[in-house]
Amino acid sequence: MKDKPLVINDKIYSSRLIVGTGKYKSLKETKLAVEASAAEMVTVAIRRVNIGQDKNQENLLDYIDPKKYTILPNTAGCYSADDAIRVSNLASEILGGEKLVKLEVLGDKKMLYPNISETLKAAEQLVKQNFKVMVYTTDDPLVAKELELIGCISVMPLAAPIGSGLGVQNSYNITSIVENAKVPIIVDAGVGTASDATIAMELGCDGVLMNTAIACSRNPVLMASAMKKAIESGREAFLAGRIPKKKYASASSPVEGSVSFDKE
Amino acid sequence: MTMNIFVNRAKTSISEKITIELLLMNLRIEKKFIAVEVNQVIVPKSKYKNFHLKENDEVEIIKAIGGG
Repeated sequence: MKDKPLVINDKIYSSRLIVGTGKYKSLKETKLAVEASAAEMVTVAIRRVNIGQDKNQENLLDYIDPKKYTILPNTAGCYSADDAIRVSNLASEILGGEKLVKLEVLGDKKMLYPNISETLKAAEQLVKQNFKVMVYTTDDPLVAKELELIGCISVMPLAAPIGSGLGVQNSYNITSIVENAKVPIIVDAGVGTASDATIAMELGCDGVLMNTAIACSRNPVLMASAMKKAIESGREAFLAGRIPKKKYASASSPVEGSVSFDKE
Repeated sequence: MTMNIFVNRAKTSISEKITIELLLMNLRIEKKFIAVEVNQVIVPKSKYKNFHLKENDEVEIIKAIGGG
């Protein structure tokens, strides 16, 4: 069965997995894990250069080639719309004018939950400035729709708090978001292991974005490969359509003609 | 003559009217894959050569790092 391809910002992606580049032990490990994941879109953060601390600082983008991968800069660490807009513009300058951005405006340090009012404000401004906004948000279906209507090109609800590894906490909400959406819905944050990613895909999400689950596993390169398969499995299962859940058993072998040793 | 500017928030003494291009060379920072802000306004790469910094200018040099 031929799947409808994932299209983001007019580009077709054959992989539905987007990976982050944080928390790895080295840039070399980052590169190997990204390769094993087969992801075609990779997130990066925007930060000040450490002046004078390391004269031969290596640049992440020398390892993750922007010619090979779609670089999705995030506004992680921003707690206001103004900061997120500033970081988006810096990201665009770093990437030679690219306008794709992952908007993330946080509201609290413990849960790293998005601040929705600032997220909406930033999204509106960035869309006006012609940015192509992929937005990190809560799993609230109404907020997701509003972000779509503002003009975000993808809405990315959390499965669970960032880095928590708890997996999809509210599959009902994620399903509602997917059913109501006309833009790609990508679960962003909260995946802990391969089965979590599969569940997100079985719910009909268009993709999953993850970082910690791969980078902080014991073997990131192997986990990246597991996630690749998990995403593919979940997608195929979604397309194939699961059976309805039943309360009682239903035999797989036909009952008719069975050799019974019981006396009738 | 020298002047003081702020580079990524650190007070830095540097020769007067230095350009962004020369500042980056002094700091051994490659132009590729960075962004420079002066007083919160982004200066495009094409202007680094002719952009002269002034006393107390706040310069931010930004790059992409690992993140999710």
